[in-house]
Amino acid sequence: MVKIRIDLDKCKQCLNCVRACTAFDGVYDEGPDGYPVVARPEECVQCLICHTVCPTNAIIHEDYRETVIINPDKVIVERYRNMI
Amino acid sequence: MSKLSFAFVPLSGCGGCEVQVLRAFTLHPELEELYDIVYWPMVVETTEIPEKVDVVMVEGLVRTKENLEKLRKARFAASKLIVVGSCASWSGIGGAADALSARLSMKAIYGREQINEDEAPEILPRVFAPSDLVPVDYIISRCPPPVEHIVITLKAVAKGKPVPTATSTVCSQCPRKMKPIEKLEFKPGLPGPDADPETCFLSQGYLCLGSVTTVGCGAPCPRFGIPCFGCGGPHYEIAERRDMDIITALARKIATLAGLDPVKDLDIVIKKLLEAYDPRRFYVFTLGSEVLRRKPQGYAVQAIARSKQDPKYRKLLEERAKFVTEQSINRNEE
Ligand code: SF4
Ligand code: SF4
Ligand code: SF4
Ligand code: SF4
Ligand code: SF4
Repeated sequence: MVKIRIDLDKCKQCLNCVRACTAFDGVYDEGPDGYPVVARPEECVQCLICHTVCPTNAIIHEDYRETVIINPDKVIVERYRNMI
Repeated sequence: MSKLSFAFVPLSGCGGCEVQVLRAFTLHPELEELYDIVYWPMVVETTEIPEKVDVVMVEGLVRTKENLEKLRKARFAASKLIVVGSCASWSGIGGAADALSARLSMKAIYGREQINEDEAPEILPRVFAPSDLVPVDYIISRCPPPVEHIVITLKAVAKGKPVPTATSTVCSQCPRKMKPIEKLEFKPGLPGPDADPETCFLSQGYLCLGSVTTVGCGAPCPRFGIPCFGCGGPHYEIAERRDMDIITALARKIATLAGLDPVKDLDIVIKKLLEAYDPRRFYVFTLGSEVLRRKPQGYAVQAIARSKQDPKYRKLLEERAKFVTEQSINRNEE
């Protein structure tokens, strides 16, 4: 699961992240101190809209999805070898 | 430890950055133990950039052929090339020169379209930011950059350590409180005395580029009642990503503050912004930068085209050109 951190030194409490989150139930809630809290990280679809709308770049997604490019060369070579 | 050699190469700038670097050396004498100044027209008497220099700093724009030659020499000589100031990093204030006809501007200032080559270096048809022309190792942006940034960079480079980089925006250092925008309406011009000194300019309907500008200055402008004009240069994500431009990134943040959808309602916000402000207002310090001119949405290029075609600017330049020519005729007659 992705880990979301909010750098409170930078956060301006504008709550843009709460408003804009595209996850079904919303990942963030407004906390009692006015700062956003990461309430439902499991909902996150990693669209990163919250990064785009945050005025201070205070949001950090750790273990964000990585693109894995598989190299099919070997498999393909195998296949054609069998055909010959 | 042996000292590193240091050169300062001023191109077409105002000299403000040069003064800041000089202040850095004066206020922090320990820098002189790390660097040996080998070329710096304002400080030492050498007239040529030496063939090999450890650290070279460049200020200003490439506006003339001579600037271009100097920049090329500086790059070949330097082990590390640092550009200082908005001009050298993002084209700065001088980048706006491209929004007017170069020939007409020459006429308005000097009374002729071209100055003879033996009198002055040949002017290039457009301005360039040095960081767009040659690979650079570090950018210290801002107009002018704070002394602290210069000192931190020079010390880190001398010790072979990585230089700290900026990831946040000016808003993170601004004391103004961001509140939701109740009605999406922009007020043209600058905030007057009736503006609330504790609330964010965006929340009050004024334009402020703080949220799309790199952090580092301590937000002096919004602290003293002037919106940020973006002298720090665009935030690194805007510079890196092709899908982000200054105006689109800003519009997404404004849309969300106003309770709109940052994706679907983007065009509405951009339209309103461009109705209230000249497109150049978003590129005050970046109009000449290739990074922004090459954005697929093309707002910077449109801003240049619109200004060039604007009869208002043309008329102003033509009037001034007439005035300058009359003056020079009078002077010749005397
Ligand atoms: S959008 Fe950014 S600055 Fe605003 S509340 Fe969320 S984390 Fe804080
Ligand atoms: S990445 Fe998308 S889904 Fe995840 S918290 Fe941000 S806005 Fe919500
Ligand atoms: S960045 Fe500003 S201070 Fe530096 S040379 Fe350009 S105009 Fe002058
Ligand atoms: S947009 Fe401007 S006024 Fe508002 S918080 Fe950012 S820097 Fe301050
Ligand atoms: S607030 Fe904006 S315009 Fe003012 S110094 Fe900082 S970056 Fe430059």
